[in-house]
Amino acid sequence: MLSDRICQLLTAYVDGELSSRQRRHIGRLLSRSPEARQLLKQLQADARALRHLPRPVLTTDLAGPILRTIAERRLTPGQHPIPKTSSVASWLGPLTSWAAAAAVLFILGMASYLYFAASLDRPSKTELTQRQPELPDPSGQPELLAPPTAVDDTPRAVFHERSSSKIDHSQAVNSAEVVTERSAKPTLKGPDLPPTPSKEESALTDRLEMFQLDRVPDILPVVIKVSDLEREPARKELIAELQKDSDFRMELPCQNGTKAFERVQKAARTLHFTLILDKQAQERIKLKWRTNYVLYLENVTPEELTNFVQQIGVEDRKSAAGKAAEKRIDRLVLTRMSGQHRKELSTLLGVDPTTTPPRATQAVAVDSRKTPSDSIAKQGKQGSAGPGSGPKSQSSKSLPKPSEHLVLVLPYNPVRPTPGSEEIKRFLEERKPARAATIRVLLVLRG
Amino acid sequence: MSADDLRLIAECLQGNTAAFGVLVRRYQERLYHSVYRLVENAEDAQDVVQDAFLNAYQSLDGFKGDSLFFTWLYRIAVNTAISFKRKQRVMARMETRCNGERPMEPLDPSAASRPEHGLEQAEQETRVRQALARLSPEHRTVLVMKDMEGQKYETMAEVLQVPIGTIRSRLHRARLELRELLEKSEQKE
Repeated sequence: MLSDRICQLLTAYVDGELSSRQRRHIGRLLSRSPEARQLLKQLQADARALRHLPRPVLTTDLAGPILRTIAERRLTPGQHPIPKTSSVASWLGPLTSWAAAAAVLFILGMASYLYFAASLDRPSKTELTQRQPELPDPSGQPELLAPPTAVDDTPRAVFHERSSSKIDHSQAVNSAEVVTERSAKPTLKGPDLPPTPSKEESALTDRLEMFQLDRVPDILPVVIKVSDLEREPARKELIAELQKDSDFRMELPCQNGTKAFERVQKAARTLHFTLILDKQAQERIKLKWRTNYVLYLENVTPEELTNFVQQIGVEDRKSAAGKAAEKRIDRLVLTRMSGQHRKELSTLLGVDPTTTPPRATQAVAVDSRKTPSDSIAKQGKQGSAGPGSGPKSQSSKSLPKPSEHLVLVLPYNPVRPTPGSEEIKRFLEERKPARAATIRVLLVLRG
Repeated sequence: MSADDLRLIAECLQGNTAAFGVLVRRYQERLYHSVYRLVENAEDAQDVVQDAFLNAYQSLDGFKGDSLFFTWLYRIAVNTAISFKRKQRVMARMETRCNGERPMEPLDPSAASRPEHGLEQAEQETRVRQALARLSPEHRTVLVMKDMEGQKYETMAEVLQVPIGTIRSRLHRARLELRELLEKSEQKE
């Protein structure tokens, strides 16, 4: 297989742009590599074909129309690229635009500050009603609001039982409207519900009600050095991460996707993973074209996947044979599969495998969403978490043999597979019912 | 740098448009040949060449004489052609979205039917032209400049204003992509 550098030298050889040393190097390569000779022959033939394309002939003289256009539009040399501006305008122009941009930013900043400052300084309705009795009434009128007797006592009582002891009871009942509104809530709550916030808390909630905070799951990607997977801490970290969900997307950035895929193939052979290669992917691998690939695996345990990735790292190290420049894979980036990733997976395969069960699902009723820790514990008892070894539980008869791990390989960039191709159909038909605590992974080999 | 070119440029800058006419006649054929391969259509090529000459005329005072006048002119023409192709691609994509697959325009229908060409050779030419037309404007440009114009990497780098390493890698990718496209078209037949 010719390296990218050799291919580049061959194209430069076709162009006649090699130094004498490089020419000697290519000469030696050509004498021993039929593959290089074949590629060179093809490239030379293509260049020759381009050179021999018939030369188009300009049938009209363009000088006439061009000079006419110049005269009609009154064009002059020096009009086009640098618009003539006065010396003042030349520096005033940029200065004006910067000043305008700064002014807009300043106005926006001030407006935001005033808005938020006003919203935080403005007391809420509750506070206003609470403060009212403390302020001296200039008119001498006792109360503007309805008297407390007009309000039902029951909810109010519940409210004040739970409110802070610092607040005077008489102050709190001055606003019939607000207090009734607030006090109505506790009566509706059951015993398991959180306690009603105090008045201070209520006031704070009123102020902050514009900020609706939601709890979001921890979905930050995890980055692990592939070579580190040969050590226990990194392995454990990856396995623990893979046990947190059932669907993942893993990116393996590499220097050359096609070269890196050779390592994947070797790892798959070692661990008895069966690769089903899409036709376009096969072509691109055969022709050694730089391509990104996407691998879809399912029904693998976190341990099996970790072993697979670890083995890819091992094969990479072996193939590089100590030369850092030949190493293709460095780190892996793991994220949980998002809705968008699922959509992408459906587009690639033509169906959503995460929602479409395999044909023989009914035969084995194993919940793939079962807590991974359960099955890991079982595995631990049996002392086996090696490559291809599944948990030997009661459903072990239905477990796939190591060689039955199917991996669908599709081109990812610059070409995409045709959904519903023979290989995709084969993969979907040969899918096995999900084992316990297994995961699905979309593994992207990008380089 | 031709002294005659410099004299004509100086005359143009003094307002003698006829001198520019001489420059147009001197270089129009060479420019047209390259631009035709970039835009794939005779009429478009003429338009692009005209636009390039008009742009050059308006930018003439920016020509410092550091390079050959033709190299400078060629750079303007290539940039005009590339931006024309990009716009055309956007339009084609929009048309494809509206009307389905857009059939590829035959580049030079007359060439394939020339009696002195053997059928096989004509077919090969068509295949090469179609493959070339499918390349990105950047890849097509370097192939045209190298294989059809026979330019050196240095000149290409100067025209396209990119490092020589970029020219080298761009040509490498362009050649491999062309090979891929030709292989595909051969397999279809």
